[in-house]
Amino acid sequence: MTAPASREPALPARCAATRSDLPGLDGHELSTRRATELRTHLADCPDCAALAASYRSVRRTLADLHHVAATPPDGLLETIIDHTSAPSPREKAAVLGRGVVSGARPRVIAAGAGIGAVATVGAGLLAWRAVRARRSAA
Amino acid sequence: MDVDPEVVRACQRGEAGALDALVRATYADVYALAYRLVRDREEAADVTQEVFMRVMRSVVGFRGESAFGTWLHRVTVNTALTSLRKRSRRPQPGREAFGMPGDEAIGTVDTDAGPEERAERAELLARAEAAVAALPEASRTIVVLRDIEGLSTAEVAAATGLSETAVKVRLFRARERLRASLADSSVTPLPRRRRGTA
Repeated sequence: MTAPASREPALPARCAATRSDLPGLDGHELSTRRATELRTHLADCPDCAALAASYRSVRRTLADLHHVAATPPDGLLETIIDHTSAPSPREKAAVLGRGVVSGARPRVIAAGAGIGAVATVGAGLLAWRAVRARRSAA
Repeated sequence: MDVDPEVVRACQRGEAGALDALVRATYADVYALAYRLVRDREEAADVTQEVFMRVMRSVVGFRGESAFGTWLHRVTVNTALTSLRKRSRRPQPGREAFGMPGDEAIGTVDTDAGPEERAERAELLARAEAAVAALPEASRTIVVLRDIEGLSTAEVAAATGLSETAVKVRLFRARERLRASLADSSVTPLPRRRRGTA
Protein backbone atom coordinates (compact mmCIF):
# COMPACT_ATOMS: atom_id res chain seq x y z
CA MET A 1 0.00 0.00 0.00
CA THR A 2 1.36 3.39 -0.89
CA ALA A 3 0.49 6.63 0.80
CA PRO A 4 -1.40 9.07 -1.34
CA ALA A 5 0.84 11.76 -2.77
CA SER A 6 0.37 15.14 -1.09
CA ARG A 7 -1.63 17.49 -3.20
CA GLU A 8 -0.29 20.85 -2.18
CA PRO A 9 -0.93 23.57 -4.69
CA ALA A 10 2.09 24.54 -6.73
CA LEU A 11 3.69 27.76 -5.60
CA PRO A 12 4.20 30.60 -8.01
CA ALA A 13 7.73 30.40 -9.42
CA ARG A 14 8.88 33.57 -7.68
CA CYS A 15 7.67 32.34 -4.29
CA ALA A 16 9.27 28.94 -4.82
CA ALA A 17 12.61 30.53 -5.74
CA THR A 18 12.36 32.88 -2.78
CA ARG A 19 11.54 30.16 -0.29
CA SER A 20 14.53 28.04 -1.21
CA ASP A 21 16.80 30.94 -0.24
CA LEU A 22 14.82 32.32 2.71
CA PRO A 23 16.72 30.28 5.34
CA GLY A 24 19.83 32.29 4.47
CA LEU A 25 18.37 35.76 4.40
CA ASP A 26 18.92 36.83 7.99
CA GLY A 27 22.17 34.97 8.41
CA HIS A 28 23.81 37.04 5.64
CA GLU A 29 24.56 33.87 3.73
CA LEU A 30 23.24 35.24 0.44
CA SER A 31 24.85 37.65 -1.96
CA THR A 32 23.80 41.29 -1.55
CA ARG A 33 22.07 41.13 -4.89
CA ARG A 34 20.09 38.01 -4.00
CA ALA A 35 19.17 39.40 -0.58
CA THR A 36 17.86 42.56 -2.23
CA GLU A 37 15.80 40.49 -4.67
CA LEU A 38 14.29 38.55 -1.78
CA ARG A 39 13.49 41.67 0.23
CA THR A 40 11.81 43.21 -2.80
CA HIS A 41 9.64 40.12 -3.16
CA LEU A 42 8.87 40.01 0.57
CA ALA A 43 7.58 43.57 0.42
CA ASP A 44 4.89 42.39 -2.03
CA CYS A 45 4.18 38.87 -0.77
CA PRO A 46 2.68 38.52 2.71
CA ASP A 47 2.98 34.71 2.67
CA CYS A 48 6.71 34.75 1.99
CA ALA A 49 7.13 37.66 4.43
CA ALA A 50 5.44 35.61 7.16
CA LEU A 51 7.68 32.67 6.36
CA ALA A 52 10.73 34.94 6.55
CA ALA A 53 9.53 36.13 9.97
CA SER A 54 9.25 32.55 11.19
CA TYR A 55 12.82 31.82 10.05
CA ARG A 56 13.95 34.95 11.90
CA SER A 57 12.18 33.72 15.01
CA VAL A 58 13.83 30.29 14.75
CA ARG A 59 17.26 31.87 14.40
CA ARG A 60 16.63 34.07 17.46
CA THR A 61 15.60 31.02 19.46
CA LEU A 62 18.70 29.13 18.33
CA ALA A 63 20.89 32.07 19.31
CA ASP A 64 19.26 31.99 22.76
CA LEU A 65 20.22 28.33 23.09
CA HIS A 66 23.79 29.56 23.40
CA HIS A 67 22.91 30.46 26.98
CA VAL A 68 21.37 27.10 27.78
CA ALA A 69 24.13 25.12 29.35
CA ALA A 70 24.28 21.39 29.99
CA THR A 71 25.44 20.90 33.55
CA PRO A 72 28.74 19.04 33.79
CA PRO A 73 28.51 15.72 35.66
CA ASP A 74 29.64 15.57 39.28
CA GLY A 75 33.29 14.81 39.65
CA LEU A 76 34.32 15.97 36.18
CA LEU A 77 36.20 19.01 37.48
CA GLU A 78 38.13 16.91 39.99
CA THR A 79 38.98 14.31 37.32
CA ILE A 80 40.29 16.97 34.95
CA ILE A 81 42.35 18.62 37.67
CA ASP A 82 43.77 15.23 38.71
CA HIS A 83 44.79 14.52 35.11
CA THR A 84 46.27 17.93 34.43
CA SER A 85 48.12 18.27 37.74
CA ALA A 86 49.62 14.78 37.58
CA PRO A 87 50.34 14.24 33.89
CA SER A 88 51.91 11.02 32.65
CA PRO A 89 55.67 11.09 31.81
CA ARG A 90 54.68 11.21 28.14
CA GLU A 91 52.49 14.27 28.76
CA LYS A 92 55.29 15.93 30.74
CA ALA A 93 57.74 15.32 27.92
CA ALA A 94 55.23 16.70 25.42
CA VAL A 95 54.71 19.86 27.50
CA LEU A 96 58.46 20.33 27.87
CA GLY A 97 59.04 19.73 24.19
CA ARG A 98 56.39 22.24 23.19
CA GLY A 99 57.85 24.85 25.51
CA VAL A 100 61.30 24.39 24.02
CA VAL A 101 60.09 24.54 20.44
CA SER A 102 57.92 27.59 21.03
CA GLY A 103 60.60 29.40 23.03
CA ALA A 104 58.23 29.74 25.97
CA ARG A 105 60.66 28.00 28.35
CA PRO A 106 63.98 29.87 28.04
CA ARG A 107 65.50 28.19 31.11
CA VAL A 108 64.90 24.74 29.62
CA ILE A 109 66.40 25.92 26.34
CA ALA A 110 69.47 27.35 28.16
CA ALA A 111 69.87 24.19 30.23
CA GLY A 112 69.54 22.05 27.11
CA ALA A 113 72.11 24.14 25.27
CA GLY A 114 74.51 23.92 28.24
CA ILE A 115 74.13 20.15 28.53
CA GLY A 116 74.56 19.84 24.77
CA ALA A 117 77.75 21.90 24.83
CA VAL A 118 79.24 19.89 27.71
CA ALA A 119 78.31 16.61 26.00
CA THR A 120 79.88 17.75 22.71
CA VAL A 121 83.13 18.84 24.40
CA GLY A 122 83.22 15.59 26.40
CA ALA A 123 82.66 13.45 23.32
CA GLY A 124 85.35 15.40 21.45
CA LEU A 125 87.79 14.97 24.31
CA LEU A 126 87.17 11.23 24.47
CA ALA A 127 87.63 10.88 20.73
CA TRP A 128 90.84 12.90 20.85
CA ARG A 129 92.18 10.74 23.68
CA ALA A 130 91.28 7.57 21.82
CA VAL A 131 93.09 8.75 18.68
CA ARG A 132 96.12 9.76 20.75
CA ALA A 133 96.20 6.38 22.52
CA ARG A 134 96.02 4.58 19.18
CA ARG A 135 98.88 6.65 17.77
CA SER A 136 101.10 6.10 20.79
CA ALA A 137 100.40 2.35 20.66
CA ALA A 138 101.39 2.31 17.00
CA MET B 1 34.49 31.69 26.77
CA ASP B 2 35.99 34.54 28.72
CA VAL B 3 39.40 33.85 30.15
CA ASP B 4 41.56 36.24 32.17
CA PRO B 5 44.77 36.71 30.10
CA GLU B 6 46.76 36.88 33.34
CA VAL B 7 45.67 33.32 34.19
CA VAL B 8 46.86 32.21 30.75
CA ARG B 9 50.22 33.93 31.24
CA ALA B 10 50.55 32.30 34.67
CA CYS B 11 49.93 28.91 33.03
CA GLN B 12 52.61 29.66 30.46
CA ARG B 13 55.06 30.53 33.25
CA GLY B 14 54.18 27.21 34.88
CA GLU B 15 52.92 28.82 38.10
CA ALA B 16 51.44 26.44 40.63
CA GLY B 17 47.66 26.36 40.58
CA ALA B 18 47.36 28.43 37.40
CA LEU B 19 46.15 25.55 35.26
CA ASP B 20 43.66 24.56 37.97
CA ALA B 21 42.30 28.10 37.91
CA LEU B 22 42.01 27.97 34.14
CA VAL B 23 40.19 24.63 34.29
CA ARG B 24 37.79 25.85 36.99
CA ALA B 25 36.99 29.00 35.00
CA THR B 26 36.28 27.27 31.71
CA TYR B 27 35.42 23.59 32.11
CA ALA B 28 31.65 24.14 32.35
CA ASP B 29 31.61 26.12 29.08
CA VAL B 30 33.82 23.54 27.40
CA TYR B 31 31.52 20.74 28.58
CA ALA B 32 28.38 22.59 27.45
CA LEU B 33 29.80 23.11 23.95
CA ALA B 34 31.06 19.54 23.77
CA TYR B 35 27.68 18.20 24.87
CA ARG B 36 25.86 20.31 22.32
CA LEU B 37 28.00 18.78 19.60
CA VAL B 38 28.20 15.14 20.68
CA ARG B 39 24.84 14.85 22.54
CA ASP B 40 26.15 12.26 24.92
CA ARG B 41 27.07 13.05 28.52
CA GLU B 42 29.85 10.50 28.87
CA GLU B 43 31.37 11.40 25.52
CA ALA B 44 31.12 15.12 26.32
CA ALA B 45 32.97 14.50 29.59
CA ASP B 46 35.69 12.60 27.71
CA VAL B 47 35.94 15.41 25.17
CA THR B 48 36.24 17.95 27.99
CA GLN B 49 39.07 16.00 29.58
CA GLU B 50 40.83 15.66 26.24
CA VAL B 51 40.47 19.40 25.63
CA PHE B 52 42.26 20.22 28.85
CA MET B 53 45.01 17.70 28.15
CA ARG B 54 45.50 19.50 24.83
CA VAL B 55 45.43 22.84 26.62
CA MET B 56 48.08 21.62 29.04
CA ARG B 57 50.28 20.50 26.16
CA SER B 58 49.78 23.61 24.08
CA VAL B 59 49.27 26.55 26.42
CA VAL B 60 53.00 27.34 26.58
CA GLY B 61 53.02 27.68 22.81
CA PHE B 62 49.92 29.86 22.73
CA ARG B 63 51.06 33.12 21.16
CA GLY B 64 47.98 35.17 21.77
CA GLU B 65 47.26 35.83 18.10
CA SER B 66 43.59 35.36 18.97
CA ALA B 67 41.87 35.57 22.34
CA PHE B 68 42.51 32.51 24.49
CA GLY B 69 38.75 31.91 24.72
CA THR B 70 38.50 31.79 20.93
CA TRP B 71 41.37 29.34 20.79
CA LEU B 72 39.82 27.20 23.53
CA HIS B 73 36.51 27.22 21.65
CA ARG B 74 38.31 26.02 18.52
CA VAL B 75 40.16 23.28 20.41
CA THR B 76 36.83 22.11 21.89
CA VAL B 77 35.10 22.06 18.51
CA ASN B 78 37.98 20.16 16.90
CA THR B 79 38.14 17.64 19.74
CA ALA B 80 34.37 17.09 19.66
CA LEU B 81 34.39 16.67 15.87
CA THR B 82 37.25 14.17 16.14
CA SER B 83 35.20 12.27 18.70
CA LEU B 84 32.18 12.31 16.38
CA ARG B 85 34.29 10.98 13.52
CA LYS B 86 35.60 8.17 15.71
CA ARG B 87 32.05 7.44 16.81
CA SER B 88 30.86 7.13 13.22
CA ARG B 89 33.43 4.40 12.73
CA ARG B 90 32.25 2.28 15.67
CA PRO B 91 28.95 0.50 16.34
CA GLN B 92 26.22 2.71 17.73
CA PRO B 93 24.54 1.84 21.01
CA GLY B 94 21.31 3.70 21.81
CA ARG B 95 22.13 7.36 22.26
CA GLU B 96 20.36 10.24 23.89
CA ALA B 97 18.15 11.79 21.26
CA PHE B 98 15.99 14.04 23.31
CA GLY B 99 15.95 15.59 26.67
CA MET B 100 18.80 16.77 28.78
CA PRO B 101 18.11 15.80 32.37
CA GLY B 102 19.79 18.21 34.72
CA ASP B 103 20.23 20.88 32.10
CA GLU B 104 19.71 24.41 33.17
CA ALA B 105 18.73 27.48 31.28
CA ILE B 106 21.02 30.27 32.33
CA GLY B 107 20.05 33.82 31.58
CA THR B 108 17.77 32.76 28.78
CA VAL B 109 14.76 34.70 29.85
CA ASP B 110 14.43 38.35 30.62
CA THR B 111 14.32 38.58 34.39
CA ASP B 112 11.69 41.32 34.09
CA ALA B 113 9.38 38.89 32.29
CA GLY B 114 6.48 37.42 34.23
CA PRO B 115 6.45 33.79 35.35
CA GLU B 116 4.11 32.76 32.57
CA GLU B 117 6.24 34.38 29.89
CA ARG B 118 9.37 32.85 31.37
CA ALA B 119 7.77 29.42 31.42
CA GLU B 120 6.69 29.78 27.79
CA ARG B 121 10.17 30.86 26.79
CA ALA B 122 11.77 28.00 28.68
CA GLU B 123 9.40 25.56 26.98
CA LEU B 124 10.23 26.97 23.57
CA LEU B 125 13.94 26.65 24.28
CA ALA B 126 13.48 23.05 25.42
CA ARG B 127 11.57 22.31 22.21
CA ALA B 128 14.25 23.98 20.15
CA GLU B 129 16.94 22.00 21.94
CA ALA B 130 15.05 18.78 21.22
CA ALA B 131 14.57 19.79 17.57
CA VAL B 132 18.29 20.45 17.21
CA ALA B 133 19.06 17.12 18.88
CA ALA B 134 16.81 15.34 16.39
CA LEU B 135 18.74 16.67 13.40
CA PRO B 136 21.09 14.29 11.60
CA GLU B 137 24.55 14.57 13.12
CA ALA B 138 26.19 16.36 10.20
CA SER B 139 23.47 19.02 10.04
CA ARG B 140 23.37 19.40 13.80
CA THR B 141 27.08 20.14 13.96
CA ILE B 142 26.65 22.92 11.43
CA VAL B 143 23.60 24.43 13.15
CA VAL B 144 25.34 24.32 16.52
CA LEU B 145 28.46 26.00 15.22
CA ARG B 146 26.74 28.58 13.02
CA ASP B 147 23.44 29.45 14.71
CA ILE B 148 24.07 28.64 18.35
CA GLU B 149 27.78 29.31 18.74
CA GLY B 150 27.82 32.11 16.18
CA LEU B 151 30.77 31.05 14.03
CA SER B 152 30.93 32.42 10.48
CA THR B 153 30.22 30.06 7.58
CA ALA B 154 33.94 30.21 6.71
CA GLU B 155 34.85 29.16 10.25
CA VAL B 156 32.28 26.35 10.17
CA ALA B 157 33.68 25.21 6.83
CA ALA B 158 37.20 25.20 8.25
CA ALA B 159 36.14 23.29 11.36
CA THR B 160 34.17 20.65 9.50
CA GLY B 161 36.35 20.32 6.41
CA LEU B 162 33.41 21.14 4.13
CA SER B 163 33.23 23.81 1.47
CA GLU B 164 31.32 26.99 2.35
CA THR B 165 28.73 26.08 -0.27
CA ALA B 166 28.18 22.66 1.32
CA VAL B 167 27.87 24.31 4.73
CA LYS B 168 25.21 26.68 3.42
CA VAL B 169 23.25 23.91 1.71
CA ARG B 170 23.15 21.83 4.90
CA LEU B 171 22.44 24.88 7.01
CA PHE B 172 19.48 25.96 4.90
CA ARG B 173 17.99 22.46 4.96
CA ALA B 174 18.50 22.19 8.70
CA ARG B 175 16.86 25.58 9.34
CA GLU B 176 13.95 24.55 7.17
CA ARG B 177 13.56 21.40 9.19
CA LEU B 178 13.86 23.26 12.49
CA ARG B 179 11.28 25.79 11.40
CA ALA B 180 8.91 22.96 10.56
CA SER B 181 9.63 21.24 13.91
CA LEU B 182 8.90 24.40 15.85
CA ALA B 183 5.90 25.25 13.71
CA ASP B 184 3.37 24.33 16.38
CA SER B 185 4.86 26.82 18.78
CA SER B 186 2.70 29.79 19.56
CA VAL B 187 5.85 31.92 19.59
CA THR B 188 6.69 31.03 16.01
CA PRO B 189 3.56 31.54 13.98
CA LEU B 190 3.66 29.82 10.64
CA PRO B 191 2.34 31.41 7.53
CA ARG B 192 -0.41 29.61 5.71
CA ARG B 193 0.08 29.13 2.03
CA ARG B 194 -2.69 30.66 0.03
CA ARG B 195 -3.64 28.90 -3.12
CA GLY B 196 -2.63 30.62 -6.30
CA THR B 197 -1.11 33.75 -4.79
CA ALA B 198 1.92 35.42 -6.31
